[in-house]
Amino acid sequence: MNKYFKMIAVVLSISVLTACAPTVKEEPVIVATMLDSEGGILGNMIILMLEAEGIKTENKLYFGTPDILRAALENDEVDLVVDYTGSGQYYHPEDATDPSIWNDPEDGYAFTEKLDREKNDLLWLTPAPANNTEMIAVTREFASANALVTMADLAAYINADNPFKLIASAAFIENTMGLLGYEEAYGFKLTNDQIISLSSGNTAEMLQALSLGTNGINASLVYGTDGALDQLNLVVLEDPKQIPPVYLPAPVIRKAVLDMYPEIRDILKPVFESLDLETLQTLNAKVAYEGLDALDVAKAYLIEKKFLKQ
Amino acid sequence: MKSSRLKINLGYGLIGLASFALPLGEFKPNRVVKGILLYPTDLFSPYLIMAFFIGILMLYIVQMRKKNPGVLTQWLMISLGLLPSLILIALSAVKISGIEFNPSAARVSLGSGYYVLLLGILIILSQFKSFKWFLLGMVFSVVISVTLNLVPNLGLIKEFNNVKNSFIKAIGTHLTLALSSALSAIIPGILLGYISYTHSRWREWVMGFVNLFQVAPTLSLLGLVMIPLSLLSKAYPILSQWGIKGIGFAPAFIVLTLYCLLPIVANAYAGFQQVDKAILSSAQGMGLTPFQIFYKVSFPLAAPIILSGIRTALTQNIGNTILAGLVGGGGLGALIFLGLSQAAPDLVLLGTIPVVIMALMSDQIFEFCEYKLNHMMGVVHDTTQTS
Repeated sequence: MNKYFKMIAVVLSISVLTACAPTVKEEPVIVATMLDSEGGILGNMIILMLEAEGIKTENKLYFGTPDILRAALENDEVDLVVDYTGSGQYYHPEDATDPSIWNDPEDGYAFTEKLDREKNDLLWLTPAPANNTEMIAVTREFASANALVTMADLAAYINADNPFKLIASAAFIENTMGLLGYEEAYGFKLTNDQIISLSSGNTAEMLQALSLGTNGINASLVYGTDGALDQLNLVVLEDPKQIPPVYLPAPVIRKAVLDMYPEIRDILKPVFESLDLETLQTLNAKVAYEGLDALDVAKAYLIEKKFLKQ
Repeated sequence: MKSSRLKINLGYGLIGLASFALPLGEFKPNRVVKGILLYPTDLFSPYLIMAFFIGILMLYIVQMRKKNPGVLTQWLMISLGLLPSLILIALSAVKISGIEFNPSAARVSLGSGYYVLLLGILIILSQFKSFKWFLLGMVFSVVISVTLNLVPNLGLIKEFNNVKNSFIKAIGTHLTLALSSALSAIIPGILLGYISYTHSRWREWVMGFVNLFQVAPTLSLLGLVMIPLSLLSKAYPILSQWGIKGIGFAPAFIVLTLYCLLPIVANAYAGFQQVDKAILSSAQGMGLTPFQIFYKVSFPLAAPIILSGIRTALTQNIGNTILAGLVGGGGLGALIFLGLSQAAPDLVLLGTIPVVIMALMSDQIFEFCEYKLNHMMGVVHDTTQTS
């Protein structure tokens, strides 16, 4: 019996050791993205481009929620992610004192890029010229029935005590550059039972709830690059005062990895520069609404734009 | 007899409900917009009508022949098992006219009627001894229709085609995480159970400790574990080289292991508790050391109960592992959360089905092991009694 115990102990310790042992790797670039369709598309594009140039990658797409992804990048668990310039307000709250920089795409990028480079050794590469900002969408019927075109119209509608229910992410609702900012700028105030708050920031489920009219919802948070608003019969309310920050998607890479493969900067630059708002909307719609494979969509785009050969 | 008739009537009721009142499926022009509900009466497909009437007829015949099941009943059961996949084929082949849609984006999702119909059939047929032949026919025909691509328009198949490159890997990661974390809880779990048995003063502390993890919400526990782990791996880079980091495999593994402790500790305690005190004192009288008593007497006698604790732990662990998807640990949870985030119920279902199958399988395997072990222990008892 004693022998068996020793054997079991040996087998267990060996298996634990082998599981933990450092694996010798060829240092592939670990590419990770958030759990959404845009993360899938941009992440696949990055992987395809790097592999085509002979850089080994490790696929960690759909890695997790935005905060998990950021923490993983800061802890060197992943090397290259797609992030949004406006998120800098959360990463460097102590320095983000002047909210006006977030309304300008270049200022916001410069601010986040500088602080991440100096404090975290993270480098922001060329962003896509597509503002994935936060806006409010309503159904087309609702907009035309109540003559809603801008946020000011919506404020008037709400202040007249009309039935209204908004679905949005908790982060947007509690943000002074989100719903709180809208309320102050346009002069309206939503009560708690006029808001449905989701912990995640995934607009696909919000827009579905809006287009189906679930629970009497008649307005939803929407992102600039969300596609297929037409197909869902939704319109976005104009925001002349530009309350939410500008969010440009950009690759963010660890300095140590970029030093190893400096060519990554130039490989990804033309691809991201080609992704304007309309292009990203179309690509997102293909994945989130038509249900096509993000890899196929990314590959077809890169081939069509001649970044990749067949 | 009476309860079986009640069940059969309930089954017929469910089949009737599904056939006339509930949608069998939903045709969606794309992934998100509301689709067109498909009722059995809408599906004027020769397949479906035929399958439906043949099915009812066969059910009737099977019930008539209940007294003496023979080879014919087995074949009837197997052919009845084809019904669910015939409906799938009919649903996949449905043609919708009048609206414009992109055929590559359109899909058919299963509706409540399909599940209710299946449930009704299962309830009725589970009353018969030859039920397993029905299950065999069902699994076989579903596998055949999927591999031969007979149901290309089902939402589940469309989602599968999107993730097929990562699907097998996700199942592998899921299994590895679930098995390894449950395995590492076994030895500490048994020891803690033994300590709380031998030192009754410590019992409250041990039980309180393992209960704490069970009542803490899994997600918040994950968040709590991640903070010290990432601090540790930053302070000692060697740890992160070994794969111990604040994100990914390590936090998920630790939390799942902690979750597995309660059923194992509680069962180990109960197992040691029920060992006859007389056996222990005679072991003592024979001059065995405490350690010998543990591994020669207490442990083998408690083993069946400990094993059932491990069974509970592993089965629940396979479900809990879904949460690893949120912290970069991968597995089927990543698929499920991707489906939730994209409001794609078919993708959620695609991630859930393997989890359910794996949990059922692990439960069955353990049931078999428990049976074998009990059998073995029974033999041991017999020999001690006769010798």
